[in-house]
Amino acid sequence: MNWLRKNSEVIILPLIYVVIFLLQKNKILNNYIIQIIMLAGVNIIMTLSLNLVNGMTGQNSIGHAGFMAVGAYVSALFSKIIFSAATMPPALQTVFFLLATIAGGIGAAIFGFLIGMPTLRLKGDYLAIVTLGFGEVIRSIIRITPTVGAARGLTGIPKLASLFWIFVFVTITIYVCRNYMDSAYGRGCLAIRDNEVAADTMGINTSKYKVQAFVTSAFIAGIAGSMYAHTLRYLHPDVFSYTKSTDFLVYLYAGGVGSISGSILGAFVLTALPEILRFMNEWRLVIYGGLLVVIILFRPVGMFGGKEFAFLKLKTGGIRHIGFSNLFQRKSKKTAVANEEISQ
Amino acid sequence: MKKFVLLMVVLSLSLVMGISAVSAEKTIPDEINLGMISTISGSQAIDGQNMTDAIKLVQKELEENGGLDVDGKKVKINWIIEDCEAKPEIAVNAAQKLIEQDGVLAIVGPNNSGDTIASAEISQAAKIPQITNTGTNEAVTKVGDYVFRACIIDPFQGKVVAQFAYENLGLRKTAVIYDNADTYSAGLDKAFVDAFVALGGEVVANEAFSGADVKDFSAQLINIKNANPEAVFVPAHIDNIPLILQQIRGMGIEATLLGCDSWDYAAMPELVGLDVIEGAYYVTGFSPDAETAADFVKAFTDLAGYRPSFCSAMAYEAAHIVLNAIQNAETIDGTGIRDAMMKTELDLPSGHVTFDEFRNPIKSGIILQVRNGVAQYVGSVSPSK
Repeated sequence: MNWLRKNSEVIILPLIYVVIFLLQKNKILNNYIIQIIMLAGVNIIMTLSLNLVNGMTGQNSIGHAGFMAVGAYVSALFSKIIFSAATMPPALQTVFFLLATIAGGIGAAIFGFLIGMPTLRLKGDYLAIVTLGFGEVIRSIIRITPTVGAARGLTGIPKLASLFWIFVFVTITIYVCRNYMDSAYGRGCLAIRDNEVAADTMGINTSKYKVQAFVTSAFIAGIAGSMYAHTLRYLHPDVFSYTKSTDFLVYLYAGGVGSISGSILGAFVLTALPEILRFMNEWRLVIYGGLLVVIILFRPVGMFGGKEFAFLKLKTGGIRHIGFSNLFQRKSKKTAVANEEISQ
Repeated sequence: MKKFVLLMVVLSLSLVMGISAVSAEKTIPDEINLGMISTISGSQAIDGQNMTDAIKLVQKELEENGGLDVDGKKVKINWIIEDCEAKPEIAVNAAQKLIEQDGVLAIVGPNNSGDTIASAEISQAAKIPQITNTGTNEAVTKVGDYVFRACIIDPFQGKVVAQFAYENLGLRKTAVIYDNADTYSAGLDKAFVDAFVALGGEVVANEAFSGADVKDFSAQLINIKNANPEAVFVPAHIDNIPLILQQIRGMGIEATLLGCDSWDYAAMPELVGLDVIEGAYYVTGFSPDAETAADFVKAFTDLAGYRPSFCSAMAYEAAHIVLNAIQNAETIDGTGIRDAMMKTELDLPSGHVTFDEFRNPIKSGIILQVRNGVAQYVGSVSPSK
């Protein structure tokens, strides 16, 4: 019983799924709401992936949609073009969906390695420029490749992703990120974020740690891409533009950069918000933008900056967050208090 | 907690059964919800504005008549307009919302092919007809049998040009110069050549160049000059057209120039040079100068304060195709409206409209001729099947 109280997420996480599932079965949640939850799940995975680079390692990736594009196209290529999974029996479909997802992740990770290897050896913001360029290059390559539909987009991808699988992958990603942060690798990354020179002096192989975090992040982004492709069933290179990368940055910074709970909450709330605001018609994106400004003004560290859900508390303790306040080299009172709470 | 969940399950189950027990005999409802998805925000907000104004005009017409007349009963039509931000996933959300939350019986739009393909998967699964106004990608209507389009597609344009050249201009020998690295250009070339040969004409030179960065077309144009055609068809993109046309005249080829809807820019005569393009003909999907469009253009201009674009005209037509189908449907539901849409026989601003078995419209192409530097309406051509 005591163990259960300490590890309540073992019950709570499956319970969340069961509740959503029951509500869906009984038509209380219609397909519209389920669709939003699924897209929010994809965005949560992407934001967690971005958090590994921007939040944990202190590097700047501003073209993360490029890795998502690689994952999406590789997995769609796998499930639609190489093995036409649409005509298979359901059990086999699931197997191929998982294989396609892993293939998408590996594809993105390979690109992550190729990009990260040379640029992460340098100190400074080179990664920002390179990832930005990478996103555009990937789009241009897709646009001229006839096998994946070129500029017309890839249609007829089998609908293999379901609420269940997205939920499973979100859960796995949360735990991978939590444990990564809690491991020696993660603490190395946190050290690099806080002071790269000091970390180097302490004997941390900074470029190795940065590349590891970046490749892991790219792999997770590839997984999210596969979920996206098999939910939406249609891919177009222009979907993965610079604007898409910015969306994830916004989710991350509004949710709380460096915080896993913040990434989850930011992605979920900001995916659902424009849909909730649909009754405002053409004003809805104005309100959406306005709310973002309010969040950043009143909570510069993001909604969950410097905090974690209880079940995600790290065993090693002490996550110090970075947020917009650091960008302006100014610490609000709240930030200082939040810092103290955590370090205690 | 368990008891509560069980209670909820039983309650909602009985609710669902109760709803489905109501019989589905043919009834005409008092109100019908129809949806429209377009890019109200984002990079193509101008199209969203055009489409919203078109729907406002349709709404105004309906209000003047006191509603839509279905078998003598005036039915109130509610248009629900949703934004898709030119993003496929938001278009999917919008379609889901319209179908699940608002219970629409048909959807007009979106204006982009990509958004339409993504959202059409939803309406196809829900058996709700969807008609895009300007989604020209062939894959759009291949999503399923509930997906329609209001604008003409590329192969159709090729046919229209061929028929116009053969029958109206009386030409027998034509040449084509096209870009074989571009699907639009290559598709139009094939459609034109097939149609022109089928009519009994001869394509004396069919010359290809490769890629938009080609700037010198003299190799192709020498062959065309030697073949001595009566007309040259140039299905190219806007960035190539001025160079090709100038070099055609520079070579001393005096043949009539024929073009497609990529030529349809107000600034085109200026770009190409007035003396070069003078007298050239091209086809497009809609012209505000056509006599069939006069009433629509006037009503739209009065309401919106600007002349309708291709996008708004097609949104207006799509809305009328849906309304007409509701009037003729045997049952007022998605399937009934779809079946009625397949049998559309309607006179609209761009001409008479019917649908082929692939749910692409069969209607007339509008022929324009450049006279004194301005594209002017010449006539409408409907190709025989």
